Amino acid sequence: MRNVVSGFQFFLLLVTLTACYQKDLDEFNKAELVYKTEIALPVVSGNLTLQDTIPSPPGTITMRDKQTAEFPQEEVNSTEGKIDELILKVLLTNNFPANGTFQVYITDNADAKIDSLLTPSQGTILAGSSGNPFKNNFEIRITRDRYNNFSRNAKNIVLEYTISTTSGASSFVNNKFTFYIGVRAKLKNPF
Amino acid sequence: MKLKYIFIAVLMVSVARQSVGQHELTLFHMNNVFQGTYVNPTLMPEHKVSLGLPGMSSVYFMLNNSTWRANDFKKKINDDSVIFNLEGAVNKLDNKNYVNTAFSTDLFSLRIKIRNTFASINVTEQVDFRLNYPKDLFKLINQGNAQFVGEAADFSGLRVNSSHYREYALGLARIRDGAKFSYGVRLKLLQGLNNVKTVKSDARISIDEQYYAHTLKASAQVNSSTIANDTTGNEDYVKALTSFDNMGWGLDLGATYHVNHRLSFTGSLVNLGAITWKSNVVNRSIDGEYTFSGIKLDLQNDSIKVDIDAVLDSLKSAFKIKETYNQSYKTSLPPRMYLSMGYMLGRNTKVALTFYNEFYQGMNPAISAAYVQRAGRILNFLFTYTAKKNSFNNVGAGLMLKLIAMQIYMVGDNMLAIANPFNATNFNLRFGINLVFGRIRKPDEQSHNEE
Repeated sequence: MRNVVSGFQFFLLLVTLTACYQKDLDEFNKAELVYKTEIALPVVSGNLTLQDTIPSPPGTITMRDKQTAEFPQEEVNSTEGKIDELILKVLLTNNFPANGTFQVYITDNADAKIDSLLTPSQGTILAGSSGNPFKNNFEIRITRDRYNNFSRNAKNIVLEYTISTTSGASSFVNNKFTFYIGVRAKLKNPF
Repeated sequence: MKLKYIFIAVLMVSVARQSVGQHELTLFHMNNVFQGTYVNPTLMPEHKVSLGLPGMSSVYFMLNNSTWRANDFKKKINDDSVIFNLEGAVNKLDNKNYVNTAFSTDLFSLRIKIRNTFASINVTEQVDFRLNYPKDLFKLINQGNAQFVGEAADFSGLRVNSSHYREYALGLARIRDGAKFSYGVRLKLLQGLNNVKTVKSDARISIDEQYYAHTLKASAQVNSSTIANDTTGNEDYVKALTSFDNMGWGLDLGATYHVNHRLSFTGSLVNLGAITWKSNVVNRSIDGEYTFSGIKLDLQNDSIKVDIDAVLDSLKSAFKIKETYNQSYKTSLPPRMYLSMGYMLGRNTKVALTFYNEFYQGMNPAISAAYVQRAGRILNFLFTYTAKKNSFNNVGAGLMLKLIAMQIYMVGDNMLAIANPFNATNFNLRFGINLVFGRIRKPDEQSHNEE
């Protein structure tokens, strides 16, 4: 009989102990995970040098060009709702004795411009020299609305640029144009 | 005189501010259980013979986390809404944090009384795992790396120290009836079986503001001695668990001074020792610095080429990775110190105040108050309260029940953790059944009471 009483007491103790943390267990079971994180990564870098000697130009030469690439629609669509904000951080350095302007814009199916990524000052590159390069460090902020606009309507991404040599520039050899692009993204439940 | 004791107590509380490690502050007062001598070699038993059989006489488990509790990971918004609160848990962390888990079991133990001396032997399997982790690691997991832009994430101090060894101990405790002093010593032969030790661990990632270039600087060394290092295909697991290639020595010391029949002071210094690891040793180290500025695009020749191989090559050449074999190394056991003041309130009732410190990567103190009650021959119980850093709700308990020759016991420092594990930072429990014979009619502690 004593064993039965002890067993019952032990059972009661177990039930009481389980009840104590059952509430915590239940709360963990119904807890919602909202994972927000912000990552910053260097993405690409590159440089442009000229290997051949170019004779000193008699005055200024201006060159304009435009390159078009397909917008990575599939990749952007797959991240819709997960990106709250995107910041592109760009560092450009220019040793060439040449000025330039450039712009990156997005076009839709009808080839109409739907967004330009750069402000005029961001898209300006001034002439530098080997000892004194021109530096332009700026960020492009792409908000959620802007990003959603890309994901719905973008078809192509277009790079348009103009380069003008400066008057009296002696040589283009041993000069370098470098660029670094990093990305900072505010993510919500990315996995 | 009273003022002096109050001062000592206040001092002890004030230093209990950063405590981790394997305290067994309740076991320290279980004088009728042989395993109590593992932390207090001068504990005087009530039986002439105590015998412990494999696997059943002592099973010990502990888990100790220096900061957060499971409940820190959730946050109640209202009655119906609960969210996982990673940020809350991360905010609780210190810059350097610590998890320690350990397991031990007696393979055999025997203690016998020969006149005024208690001689004992025990063979105990010991496993100890310690992980130190920096706060920045969890900040990175929780909030990402953008928070470190223009700064550095510091992963220094990420360490693993883990040991598996077998302890063969010979103990002697001497007491003379009515003597003021009693003392005990345990000499241990340590048989090292597996070990991983982080000797050095410095790592930082700094993130540039201009375009988020990452610079990783790392310098680390890890020594290991384990059968897992044997990649010859001829692994002999039986030999690995019985070989005496990794030898060490250990020592436990203890002394008790009885000021009068009520007041006593006990001190013990246990777990002194070291093991030299010689078999299946691999020493791995890494040193270097590397900056990642993004995937390099090759813009030459009218084409754009992504040069990932260049990244991997420069990463490989930036870090010197060294692996050496069979260079023996030594690991020390973390010594533990107990200083206790006991006061007999009556023939069967004792209260005690105990200060504890483990010397592992600095001081890890704790302070504990105990109430010990002997209830006849068959039942002893005690309660303790222990305070240590970030943990002030440790109510310990110990129970010994003697049924004929079977001494059943269970002891732990934080029994509240059983009822409320989600709010506990630490838990330890030791339980087992010893066989005891030959009751000592006039236990030495009682003889002092009767003075």
